[in-house]
Amino acid sequence: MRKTAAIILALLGLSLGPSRADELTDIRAVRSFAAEAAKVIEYSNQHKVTATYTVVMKNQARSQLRNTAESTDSPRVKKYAQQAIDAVNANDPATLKRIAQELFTMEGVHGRAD
Amino acid sequence: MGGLIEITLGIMTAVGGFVDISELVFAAQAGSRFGFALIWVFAFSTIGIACYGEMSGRIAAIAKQPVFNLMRQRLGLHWGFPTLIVSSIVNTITCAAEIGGTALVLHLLTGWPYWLLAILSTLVLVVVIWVLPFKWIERSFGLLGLTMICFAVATVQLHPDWHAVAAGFVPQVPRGLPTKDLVVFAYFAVAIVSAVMFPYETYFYSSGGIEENWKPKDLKVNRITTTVGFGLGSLLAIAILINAAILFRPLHIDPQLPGSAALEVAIPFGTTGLLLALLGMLFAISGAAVETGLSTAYSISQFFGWEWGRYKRPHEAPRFTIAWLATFAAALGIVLTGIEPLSLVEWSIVFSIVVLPLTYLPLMLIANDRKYMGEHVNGWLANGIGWTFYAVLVIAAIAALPLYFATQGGQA
Amino acid sequence: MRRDDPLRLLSEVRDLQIVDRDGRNCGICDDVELDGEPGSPLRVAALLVGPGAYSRRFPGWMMRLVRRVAGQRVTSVPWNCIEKITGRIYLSVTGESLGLRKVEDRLERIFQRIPLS
Repeated sequence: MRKTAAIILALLGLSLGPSRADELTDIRAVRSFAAEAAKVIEYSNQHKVTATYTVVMKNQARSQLRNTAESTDSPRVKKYAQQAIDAVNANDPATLKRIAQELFTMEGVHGRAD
Repeated sequence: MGGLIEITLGIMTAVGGFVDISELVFAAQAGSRFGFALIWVFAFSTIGIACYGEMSGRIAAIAKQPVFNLMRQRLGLHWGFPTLIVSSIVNTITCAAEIGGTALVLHLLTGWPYWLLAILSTLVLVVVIWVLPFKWIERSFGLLGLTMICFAVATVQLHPDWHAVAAGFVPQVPRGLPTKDLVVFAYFAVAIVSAVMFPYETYFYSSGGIEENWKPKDLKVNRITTTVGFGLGSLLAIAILINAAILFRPLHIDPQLPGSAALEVAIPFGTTGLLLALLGMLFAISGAAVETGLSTAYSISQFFGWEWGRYKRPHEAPRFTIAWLATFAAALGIVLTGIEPLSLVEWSIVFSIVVLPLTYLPLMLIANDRKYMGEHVNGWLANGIGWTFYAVLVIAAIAALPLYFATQGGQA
Repeated sequence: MRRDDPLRLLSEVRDLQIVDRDGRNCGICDDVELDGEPGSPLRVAALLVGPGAYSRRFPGWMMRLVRRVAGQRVTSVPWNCIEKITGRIYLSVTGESLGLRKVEDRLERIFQRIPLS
């Protein structure tokens, strides 16, 4: 009963303030794109995926990171998104994984419960 | 022997045709986000679509009435006409999502420009529907879609904790989640119900039953196709979820790009696996584009009493032909505006579930009406499952839009 | 329901599919025209088919919109042209003889000029 009431309150009011919720969404997005791009580049290096697939996925990751960087108000998200774009251009999975991990830590208590 | 072949082909077609871009996207995201905790929602929803699918097939065989004739008779013009409008819009948006998804997969395979591939794939689908007989259309996409089995093979190869997978089939809400994540969990549950129980599937399936002139002797094939076929098909969607839970969750990946799902097969099987996954996705998604495009034409034609059907030559059912051509043209137009397929998936999921209660109510009413169904009315099992799911759909329909906005489409 | 059975409810006939003698779809029964003075039995004179018939059943603004898009055509199907009514309305004549398949037949002739149709 308590849980149901909490869910209804969350639906009605949103438990986070709007700006924090937006920044969290952007952090999640950049974290995920960076992690996805890291994996694609790694598997490309191991010849587990085709060259075409790698190029297209990297393009899509770059495009999504750019969109997030342009639409976000958060300076730190902008910074991380740009770093991720640079790492994609440099085919640097290690940097991308580091970015993903740092962003995951930043999500903190509002991130996923693993 | 002929009956056994018919049943086998029916099951295989249902399996290969089960997954579309919505299920692909939501299965992968559900797995990466919540592990195995949403498996039960896929299983639960599959029971629902199997029940309503069987009912619509039974009505096609006995009452010889397609869904939108029933819609009009039972809901009347005042409820039926808005339902027709909304479901046509939703079908068209869904068709656009499937065409966008098809173009995306071709883009991953070839590297050609996305917009060019969207136009080419629409043209190919139009020609295929124009030229091929109905049975060939249904069977070819369904059987080619069986390539999606590579996802299930990948699951076995990844050696999941099968006890944990089995536990995922038990209805549950994960413990210890913050309230915000519970709301997102609820959104995913509603989205999965919507994706699995898309109304276009029953429109297409029942119209196909009328086209093929099903009779009481076909009821057994209908029952087996919907239960076994949809059941096995849902296992493919669940395989995608399991793979995402194993591979993406530990890496903090929430797969935002449909191409990420193909990695699930590339990781264990390399380039061959990747290509099989992409081909499977191509046939499954483009098959769904055909179904949604034709479903709109079926709905409109049946509602206004026009000639309809793919068993007729295009000139024998001209308004039906114009309706599906117009649907594909509109869907392609939506894709070419540059709206991302994922956004289209979100909208089609959310708005389709609002239409579901109005779609399935006439089915339930007719399936219980002895005047139409004679001795083949719903038994206690069909009624029990049917009305239970109906209550679930009404709740989901009410909750869908608030959940979508509260969770920013599951991204919060 | 046979045509000489008394009609209990208008809704049993309205919104049913109409099929002609050759088994072809001829639209939906969009409305019903009744015959009879107050004090005498009410009889069904004809079935009405077309946007002019079904648009009347909508609220005013929707009626105007539908008529603008689909027109106001109404075709009358005399009651004595009906063979039987089960889940559908079966005619004893062809659709063309009642003017029911005008749009469909015109489009059919156009489509026949397209290859592979």
